[in-house]
Amino acid sequence: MTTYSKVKQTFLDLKSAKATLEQYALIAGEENARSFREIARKMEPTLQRLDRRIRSMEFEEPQYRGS
Amino acid sequence: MPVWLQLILRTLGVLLFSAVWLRLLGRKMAAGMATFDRVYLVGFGVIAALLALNQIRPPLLGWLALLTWGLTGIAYSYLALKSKWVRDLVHGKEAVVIKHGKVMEEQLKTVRFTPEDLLQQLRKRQIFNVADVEFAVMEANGEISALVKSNRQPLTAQHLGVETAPEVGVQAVILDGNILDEPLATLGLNRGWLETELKKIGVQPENVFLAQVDAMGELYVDLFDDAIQVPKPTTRKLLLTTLEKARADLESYSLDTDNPKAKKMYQQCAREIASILYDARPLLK
Repeated sequence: MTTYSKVKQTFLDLKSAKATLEQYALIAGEENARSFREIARKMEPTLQRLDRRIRSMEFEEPQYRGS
Repeated sequence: MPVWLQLILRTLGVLLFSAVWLRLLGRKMAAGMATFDRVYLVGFGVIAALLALNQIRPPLLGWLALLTWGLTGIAYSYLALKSKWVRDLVHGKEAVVIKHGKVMEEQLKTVRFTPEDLLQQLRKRQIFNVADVEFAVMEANGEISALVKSNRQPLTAQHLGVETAPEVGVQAVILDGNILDEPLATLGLNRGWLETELKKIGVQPENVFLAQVDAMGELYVDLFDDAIQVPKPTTRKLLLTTLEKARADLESYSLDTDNPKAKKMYQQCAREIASILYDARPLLK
C-alpha cells in the first residue's frame, strides 16, 4: 500500500469516528452529549490538515488520484 | 346452591377483596417494616381464610370483621402519614446502638437486646468485627443497619481517582416480545431506531424476548431462541480502537515522510488525537 492510500484510509477512519461521536451526542443524555460534541469538534483541525495533505499529495503525483 | 359451589364462590370473593384491599393499603404494609405491619397482615389473612372456609357464623359478621380490619389498616396508613406522633407510637423510633465505633449499652437495654443478639444481627450483615462498625441503627422491626468504617468500605472508582462517565438509567424496551414505546420515548428514541438497530445485528424484532438500551444507545438483546449467538455490542470499544490506531498510524507517517513540514503536521495530528483519546476514553469504556 502506498503512503497516499494509507493516509487516505486514516483520514476516512477519523471522519467516520467523528460521525459516530456526533451520533452518540444525539443519543446520549445531556452531560455526555456536550462532551461528545466537544470531542467531535476537536477532531476537525486534524481532519482538515490531513485533507490538505492528501490534496497536495494528489497534486504532486496525479496518478494517485482516485485510488 | 350446592355447598362446594358456595365454597368456591366465597373463596374467590374473599381473594378478590383481599387483592384489591391489599393494594389499597399501600406499599409500606407490603414492605412489612414494623412489627405491627406483619401482625396486621397475618391477622388479615387469618380472617380472610376463616371467612372463605365459612367458619364464621353468620358469615356477614366475618365480612364485617374483614372490612373493619381493612379500614383500620388504611386509616392507620393515613394517620401515620399526617402525624409523626402516631407513627412513633405504632411504628416505633429507630435507636442508635453503635455511635462512633462505641456500643451504646443504654440504647441496647432500651430495645431489650443482649450483646449476643447484637453480634448475631451484625453477622447477618456479614460483619464479624464490632471494631469495623462506625455507626449502627436498630430499625423499628428489629433489624440492624450498620455503616462500616471507611477503610472497610469497598473500593469505588472515586477512591482510585478513575474518571467514569455518569451512569444514566437503562430502559427495557422489549419485554416478552412486545416493543414498549414509552421507555423508548424516555430515551429520546423511537421504534424506527430500534428496528434499524435490530436489522444491524441481523435480528428480527419478533425473535427478541428481552431488549435493553442504555443512555449511550447501546442495545442489549436476548432472543427467544437461545441457540443463536448475538454479537456483543462493541461500537464503543471499536471507536476507541479506531482512534488509537489512527494515532499510531499518524506517528508512523511522520517518520516515513521526508518532507519536514509534513513531518511536523503529522506529529501535530498525532498529538491532537492523543488528547482526544484522553478525553474520550472515560466515556467509551
